[in-house]
Amino acid sequence: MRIERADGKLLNMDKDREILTPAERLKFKDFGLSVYLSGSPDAELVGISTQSHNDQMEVVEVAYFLAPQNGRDNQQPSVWTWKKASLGTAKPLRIHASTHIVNHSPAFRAGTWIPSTEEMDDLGDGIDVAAMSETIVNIDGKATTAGTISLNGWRFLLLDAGDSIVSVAGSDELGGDYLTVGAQTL
Amino acid sequence: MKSRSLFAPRILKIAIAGTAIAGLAAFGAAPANAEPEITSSVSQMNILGFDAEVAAANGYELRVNEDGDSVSVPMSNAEGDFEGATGVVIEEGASTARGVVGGPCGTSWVYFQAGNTQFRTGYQINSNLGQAGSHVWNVTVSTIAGMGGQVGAYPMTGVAPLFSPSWQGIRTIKEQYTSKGSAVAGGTAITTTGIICGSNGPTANY
Repeated sequence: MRIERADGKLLNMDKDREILTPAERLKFKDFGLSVYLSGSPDAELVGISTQSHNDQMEVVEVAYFLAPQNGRDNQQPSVWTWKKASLGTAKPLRIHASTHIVNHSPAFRAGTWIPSTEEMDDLGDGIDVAAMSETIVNIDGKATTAGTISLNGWRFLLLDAGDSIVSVAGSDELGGDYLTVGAQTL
Repeated sequence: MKSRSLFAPRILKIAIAGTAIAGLAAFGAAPANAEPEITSSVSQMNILGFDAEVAAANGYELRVNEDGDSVSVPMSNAEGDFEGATGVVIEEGASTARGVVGGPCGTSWVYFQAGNTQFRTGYQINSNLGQAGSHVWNVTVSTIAGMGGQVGAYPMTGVAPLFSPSWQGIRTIKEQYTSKGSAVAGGTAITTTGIICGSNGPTANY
């Protein structure tokens, strides 16, 4: 497998450096569609998670870590690729953003808070009604329009990528820089 | 994009993802946005065993302390130094066939939300057992009520946030909506110190 960066550089997973483990590559293959990754040179890959339903993989979540910067010491951006045909009534931005906000909450991370259903519903409703603006992200070197919202100091992107929907969660400062690379399983 | 230079590899281990389906009786056709009677469930997680490979990847190993208990200890510790040890994994005299002791490990949960159109599930590892590392997690949702409803499985395998004892995920329910639903969360979470925690099957109903 190779990943084409926005700057045109091709990273050969077998020769240049190990980014994906064999198990992670297998997940990409099982997914059956291109899995989108961060293009930020500062983002360090942490791991890959998946969401399935009745043995069908529907979402691939790629998690990253950024070194402390701009006074923030806990930035773990993520890029989720959703299979559009499996979306049903799911709202990718609502689910991804509320997951990100809770998992980054200091109280949640301290082990002192599990959100209530009311809190989760309020958070989701706030995401649903947040004003969305357009931004341009670079996908495999091609300028692409995405929607973006800012909430609780975080920025979230939503992109229609044909067979898939891509959602991105990251810090407000860096925004679209996260999403500059698409990965295609060969 | 950098490779994993800062972190030891987070190894996902396949474990038994326990599932269960709660039986449901009543049949109804209330809309998804009707005022729901939401119940939720939180369970106490139990230690199921120890994963030496994950522990080693994060710089820990199992050692026996002066009480005869096996604990996960930083590899860098000198012999006899148990500073930073993360809880008792195997008590003296306990069955070590699977390293099972059944000690407390943390809290797991599953809740319905968004008018019962979604569920969320997660866990919180006790602070003396290290941080959350990865999980093999599955939620089984049943909306069977009378002659309607369906059962579906929602695997959610992956990594937990870094430097955190907690993880939570959300899914939209795809099964046909009925007036009765249940969700059972089963699976295991592995801490960064190699301790395997079982969900103990929290169950939510509406």
